[in-house]
Amino acid sequence: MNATRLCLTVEARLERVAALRELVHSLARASGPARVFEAERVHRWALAVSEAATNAVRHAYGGDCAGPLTLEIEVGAAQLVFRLSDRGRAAETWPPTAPEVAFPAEGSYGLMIIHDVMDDVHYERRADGTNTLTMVARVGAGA
Amino acid sequence: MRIQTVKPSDGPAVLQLEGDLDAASSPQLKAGLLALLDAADRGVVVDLAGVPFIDSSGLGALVAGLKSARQREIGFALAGIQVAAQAIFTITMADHVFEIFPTAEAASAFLAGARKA
Repeated sequence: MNATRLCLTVEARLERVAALRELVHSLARASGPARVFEAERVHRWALAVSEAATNAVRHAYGGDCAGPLTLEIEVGAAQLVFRLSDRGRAAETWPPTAPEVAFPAEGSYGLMIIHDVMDDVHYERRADGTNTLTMVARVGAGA
Repeated sequence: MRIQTVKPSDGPAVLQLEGDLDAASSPQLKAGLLALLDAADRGVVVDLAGVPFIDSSGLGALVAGLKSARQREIGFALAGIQVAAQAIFTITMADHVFEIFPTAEAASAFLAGARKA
């Protein structure tokens, strides 16, 4: 099976993060009737992408701005790859120290959620100034 | 996000939300919630039946409301969480911390009963 690839670039503004979530929800339509993903999993992927995009706006760009925020989704037979790229500041450390979030806290759940939802997460800062967070969800048999 | 407040004379105030609850909309909810808690001595129910998506920023606004209600010793409950919005509660285990009911009516009845007890 050939991989399906979806891609969307929006301005790095919190109000535009919803458009990236919608791209995740469009997976089922783009993948065709042979690939029906369980609705609960799609909701969780959308949540993880939303958390990652919000982190990029807040921490890489330091708030709403006109910088690019790009989500690319590659749908393969055994896995989905979500790549979120920005051109803001580099993450200071990676992998980050897992925050000890004592509920009820009002924030700092983002990375915990991304790691809970995705099977593999890694970050890359390229020489051209692009940050890319790659999140992989396995969808093959036994996933 | 649209926010509407219903204040019955004999029961908890109900905050009805419509739209995604995310980093863009959560400041609006937090401000509305804290203002309502200042004046709601019979408790507050947040009706999430019209909310298809909640992220950690949205959860943070609800946590701020919960903390404020506890400080004021006011009842606080969530109602009508959609299946699509449940993940954030299970991943963070917030579903063990909030009082959660299937409908706003059930949440209001619980808070009214707790107040009498």
